[in-house]
Amino acid sequence: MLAVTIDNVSFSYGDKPILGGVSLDVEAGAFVCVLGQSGCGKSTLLRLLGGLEKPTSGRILVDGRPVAGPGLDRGMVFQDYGLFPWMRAGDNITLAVKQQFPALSAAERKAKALRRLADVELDADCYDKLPGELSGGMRQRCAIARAFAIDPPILLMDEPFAALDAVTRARLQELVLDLWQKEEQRKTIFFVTHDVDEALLLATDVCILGQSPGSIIHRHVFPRDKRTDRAAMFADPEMLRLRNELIAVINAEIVQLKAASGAGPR
Amino acid sequence: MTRTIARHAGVVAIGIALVAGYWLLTDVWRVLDPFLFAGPAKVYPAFVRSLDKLAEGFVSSLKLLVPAYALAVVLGVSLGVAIGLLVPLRRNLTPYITAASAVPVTLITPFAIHVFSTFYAASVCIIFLGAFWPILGATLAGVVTIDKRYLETAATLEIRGVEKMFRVVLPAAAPTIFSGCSIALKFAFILLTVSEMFGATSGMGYFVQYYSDFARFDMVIAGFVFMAAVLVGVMALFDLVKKRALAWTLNS
Ligand SMILES: Nc1ncnc2c1ncn2[C@@H]1O[C@H](COP(=O)(O)OP(=O)(O)OP(=O)(O)O)[C@@H](O)[C@H]1O
Ligand SMILES: [Mg+2]
Repeated sequence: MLAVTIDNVSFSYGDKPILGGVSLDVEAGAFVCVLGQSGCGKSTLLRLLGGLEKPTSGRILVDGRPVAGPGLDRGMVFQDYGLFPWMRAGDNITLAVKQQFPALSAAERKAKALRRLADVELDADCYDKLPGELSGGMRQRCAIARAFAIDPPILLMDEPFAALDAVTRARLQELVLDLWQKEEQRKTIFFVTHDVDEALLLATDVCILGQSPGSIIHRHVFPRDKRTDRAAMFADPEMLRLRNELIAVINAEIVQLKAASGAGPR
Repeated sequence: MTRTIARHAGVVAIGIALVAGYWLLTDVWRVLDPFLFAGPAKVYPAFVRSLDKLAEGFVSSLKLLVPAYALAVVLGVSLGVAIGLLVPLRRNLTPYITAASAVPVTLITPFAIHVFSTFYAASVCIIFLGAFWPILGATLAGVVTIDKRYLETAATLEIRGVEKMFRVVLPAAAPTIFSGCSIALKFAFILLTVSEMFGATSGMGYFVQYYSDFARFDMVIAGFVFMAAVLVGVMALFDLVKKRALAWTLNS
């Protein structure tokens, strides 16, 4: 729902540069999938968007305003779930709902939480369980349910489906697409994944983040009327061409990095 | 019921072995000095005889312990959270907190007696101080070492103020806070004896102190046994509370 501008953003942990001059203009309602090798700074980029880190240089604008810190307008699904382990799964969600919708009654909050749990295919008994009593994939789904429940205009999702089996993953991909497509005012979604097919299925905008230091080395923006259909996708020669192209770029980057590190001092 | 007994069978067996061993060393073989180390043959009747007095002492000791410890928990935890969350305050106060917690509370006794007009207030003050510093220290440590991810999640959900304190900071720091509280509880028991040394006319510590002055070591040991039993009971109660509060961290 909100446009995001990443303007020549660099970021270092201490004196170790992680991102070097990332620039990306994303229109409101885009579904951006970020691909890239492990350790290239994808999570770091999401943390910058989420306001959890500040750029060393450059700026990030949301709807024209610079990001000042974390907030409810940008829902985050962390790579490692981020549920509070001392609260029941349900309370984790209702607390978030209460933050976003303070006017709702306790019963309405609970109803909303239960609906979102059902959306991610979790039973109602999960509501009363502690996160420690759930499996890794269930915890992750719970965190996704929480992000959906607060219904933020911008969603930042860091490999949200990585821990799930293929069937659940496919269902949740549909769910995210549904949530995103149905709304009058589409959410702007940033979605980190290692899976090229997932990116092709979901994205309106695929970005590949290169390494050392990270910057966008490849970008493909789909036409506005992109219709995604899992079955038809792999029959589409254009999609196949794109798939090969993306994989080639990622592989080239890895080969280049290997060569660079091999040529260095021993 | 049988399961509870089965679970504590080991504890009971060790207890019996300890008493039996002590009995052998004293009444049976007379290895230990019989004047100082009164055997069970003398301690048991002493214990039975003074049960009334010990019970009375228990009540008056609790009147010191409970308010002092409760105050230490409330102040220690709330100040610890406040100081732990406010970084500049923490940076400036840490050396003083370290210094203050290094002062043996027993050294403060004369000052406490001077400052407080009544024995009761002075005693509560001493027990409070003994319990306060470990709780404050543990709370600070607990707040400072909270997993950053919890605070980040709280920040993205805009959980702030009181809500953040009670639903994020305190639960996240609770394991450390509880271990501080448990150390503090044991300190409080030790200081009970110290604080009942002056001015008290009853109490578990007073009982031990009183008979020690008369070299009635059978009574002293009876008093020790009683105090130890009370401490074990109180700690069991404490563990029950802890178990409920920390259910999410327990391994079994
Ligand atoms: N807190 C930190 N302090 C120092 N360095 C960090 C920190 N977090 C991440 N890094 C470094 O930043 C780099 C990028 O990390 P990041 O987590 O963004 O990678 P990623 O692209 O998300 O990888 P993955 O696909 O494995 O999740 C890594 O080299 C990592 O070592
Ligand atoms: Mg990552």
